[in-house]
Amino acid sequence: MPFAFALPSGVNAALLAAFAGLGVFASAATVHERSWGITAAALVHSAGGVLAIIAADMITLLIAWELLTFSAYFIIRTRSRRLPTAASPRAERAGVWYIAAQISAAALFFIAIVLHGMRTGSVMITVLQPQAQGFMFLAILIKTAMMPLHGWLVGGYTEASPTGSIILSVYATKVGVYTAARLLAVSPGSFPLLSYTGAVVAVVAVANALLQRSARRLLSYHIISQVGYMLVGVGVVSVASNRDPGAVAGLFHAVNHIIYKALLFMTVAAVMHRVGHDDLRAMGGLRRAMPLTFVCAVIGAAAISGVPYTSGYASKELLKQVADPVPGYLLALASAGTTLSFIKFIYLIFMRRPPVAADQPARMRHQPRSTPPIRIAMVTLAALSILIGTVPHIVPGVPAIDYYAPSALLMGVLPLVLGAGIWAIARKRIVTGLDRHAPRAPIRSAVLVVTRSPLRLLRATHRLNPQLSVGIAVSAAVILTFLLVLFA
Amino acid sequence: MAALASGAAHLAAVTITTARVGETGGLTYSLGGWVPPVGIVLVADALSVVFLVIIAIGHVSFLLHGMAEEKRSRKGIWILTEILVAALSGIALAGDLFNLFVFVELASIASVGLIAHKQQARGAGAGFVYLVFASISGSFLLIAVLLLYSATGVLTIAEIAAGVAVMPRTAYLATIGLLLASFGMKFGLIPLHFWQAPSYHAAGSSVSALLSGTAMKLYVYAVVRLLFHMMRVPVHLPEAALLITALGCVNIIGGHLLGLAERDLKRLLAYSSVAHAGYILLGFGAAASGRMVAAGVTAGLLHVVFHAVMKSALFYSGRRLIVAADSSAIAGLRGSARRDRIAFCAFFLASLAIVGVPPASGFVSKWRVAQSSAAVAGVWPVVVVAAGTVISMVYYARVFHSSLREGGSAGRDARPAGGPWRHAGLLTAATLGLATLALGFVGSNVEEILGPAARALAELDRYVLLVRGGM
Repeated sequence: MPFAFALPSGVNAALLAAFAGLGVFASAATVHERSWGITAAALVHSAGGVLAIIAADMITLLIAWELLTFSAYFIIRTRSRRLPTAASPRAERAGVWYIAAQISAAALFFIAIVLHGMRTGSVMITVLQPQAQGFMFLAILIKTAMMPLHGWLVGGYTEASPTGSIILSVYATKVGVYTAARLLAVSPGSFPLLSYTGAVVAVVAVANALLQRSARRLLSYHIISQVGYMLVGVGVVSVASNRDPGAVAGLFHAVNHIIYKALLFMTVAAVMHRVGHDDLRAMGGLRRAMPLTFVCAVIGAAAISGVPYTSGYASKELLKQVADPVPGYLLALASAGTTLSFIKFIYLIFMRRPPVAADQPARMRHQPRSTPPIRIAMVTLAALSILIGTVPHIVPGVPAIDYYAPSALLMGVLPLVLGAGIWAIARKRIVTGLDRHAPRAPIRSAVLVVTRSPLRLLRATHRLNPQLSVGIAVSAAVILTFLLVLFA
Repeated sequence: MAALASGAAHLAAVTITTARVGETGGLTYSLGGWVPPVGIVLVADALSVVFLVIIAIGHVSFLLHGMAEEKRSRKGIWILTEILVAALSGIALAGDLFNLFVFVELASIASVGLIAHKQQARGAGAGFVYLVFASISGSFLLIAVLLLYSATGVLTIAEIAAGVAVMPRTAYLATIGLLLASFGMKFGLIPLHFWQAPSYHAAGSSVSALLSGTAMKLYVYAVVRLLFHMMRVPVHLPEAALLITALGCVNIIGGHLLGLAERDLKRLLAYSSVAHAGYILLGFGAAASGRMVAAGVTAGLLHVVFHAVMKSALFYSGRRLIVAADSSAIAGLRGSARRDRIAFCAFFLASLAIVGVPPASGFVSKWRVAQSSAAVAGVWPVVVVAAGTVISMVYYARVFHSSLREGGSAGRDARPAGGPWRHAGLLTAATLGLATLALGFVGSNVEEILGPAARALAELDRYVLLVRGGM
């Protein structure tokens, strides 16, 4: 088997740096859960991310995918020793579904590699042969959690321990985006299918995020939405190298997203360690108790919404430059929704007067403040978000265009104003609407419904009495022989 | 001690044979100096040597494991194991059909004993079912032998090979069907696989490791040897490639779905064996087309070797989990991972390997199988292999899921034997588990080692020349 490595250059190098740095920060943060299993799994998980970027052949890339999958399984199902939650069957089920989804993506990738290898005789990373593109496209849809194939992400990230979600938020989907940038070139009838898929999902996922009442479910839906942004960039053109503007824009957004999304998950982890749960309806008023967390959360929310002089603004600006008009408008719409959603997020956790029940948070084992690793990480990531927003081209491979031209600023601020305006009008409805939404898992239910009765039937046919099974076997053997004879 | 001595003697014999075959390219031995076609001939070429090595490894790990784990009261199991191993070696070496038939029957009888030995009621039932299946399989083989003998007048495989070209087409096809059906019953071709799950369930995990890890491979060997060297399928009937590939696909999907539906760990592993017989068939099926002969044969052999290691590792480590939880139901495995961490790690590694997660060994062989099969039958076998990967991952994930759960009652003591050998069982499981991972890294080296065997199988005339040259 070939094991080939290559050091990346340009924006891929930035992605590698983000993966490595966040691996250190997030693994250090997991120490807080006092369960060495999570930390060990987190280190393996970040190693998987790094391996994906330095892989020069597809088999090594597939190995990186699998490393991510199986370490994530243990991250999801290992309980925090800090939180008073017992082992939950939901987390265990989420782990199994996570593996099932990821192995499906890996299996599709496997088909693509075999077909590509058959045509070219090589498995080095390059744009795949046309026969393999369809399978790879499906693999990427699963790996990047494009709705409705997102159940594994939302389930897994929500059921993990608080700091476990941080590390999970960094790698799996972004490795999918990176893989798409290197291998995928789907354009049936020169229509940028991946780009449009990403744009539509970006909007739909934001709409779903608005309905969520768990902080981590909300952030998970925003991951899906932001990955949609990345795919808009990555899917624009058939990709030849990382110099390609579309891929650069998509991967630049990935780098920024890794930083601010990890930052947001860290603030939620800090909040969860304090109040013991992540239910937005029972939070509030944490601004005074957790000032540093508050400031960091605001910076993260600003970055993800695309406020000027934050990293999110810069990469969205670059995306707008490369995207087709229709995905561009959809992304602007998604940005308005993101703004709205994060105003809600900040308001519910930090700003509003705490609801009555939240005055007595679930009992915590003496840790009123977040630990130094999380605090250092939060401050660093917040500073990075602003630095990248101010001077975007310090990120390797990112072009030094004029990010703050007046027209660009206007178009960038418009969605923000729209989002804030909707919030001003509809705040009550949005906050009270949280109680009515019940999460569903359509794909999961469909899989269960479709497989249940056939499997039951299969099991029944194999509890036959011996005479019958011998009879079936003998007749089958005779039929097989006769079929062959008839073949003459 | 007697067991150890027999294991050591077996290893020594196999090593000498391997070395001699490596030097000379193949050995023949005519019993009593009576040369074929009248006399009986034993043939050891590079292909048989691969299977002799598989038998030796299966035998020795069974002995090491059994030294620690088997209750003293089950003495009969040792005698039956030795008979089975001898019979399997006979299958690997038999140079004529009559002896092959005798050795297959001998192996069946020993297997029935092993299956029925552990549990009274269930064991007797499962053993009887296997006995019926084995005798039907035997009669199919006998009819095939009759057809061949009436057409060619000889029983030596190499001599028949010269005669099949002039055989009537109907008889030729019927013989192929009979051979496939006969050995299909033994290695678990769907829908001839019904005996497997009850038998493995009743037999206990260590016997199942021997039956599934080792014995199953020899039946595959027999049918491949007969179809390639005797019936010369790649020359006379390349269309059979599609039939064999289709049978393989059915086995993969059917076996994995049955595993998914199953609620008992031992039965689950039995169905996984059914599925993996399918992967092996895909490899040899591609070779039977006469186009991808070398690649297909190598892929099939690679999966044979790796599956022998993976399935043995799964049965031995799975046995420890079952003992730790005192239940072989998947839902009843609670807490077993915590009570026997090493066994769980071995099981985890081995199941990742058998699912085909890179870089473990199962991935390498599935990769080769998919490649060679795609060249012959297009994209569908690749899709089937990938779907099998997904389904099997889900059912192994269910096993992890329940054995990692906390709680459950403490099982029986995992070490009834005690004494200096008490860790041998764990060591066997752990070594095999690690081997499933390590073999993946040296996959290409294993392919090289299998090269002579693949050539011995792929170059059809070589076998005939070997036997005739020995006359």
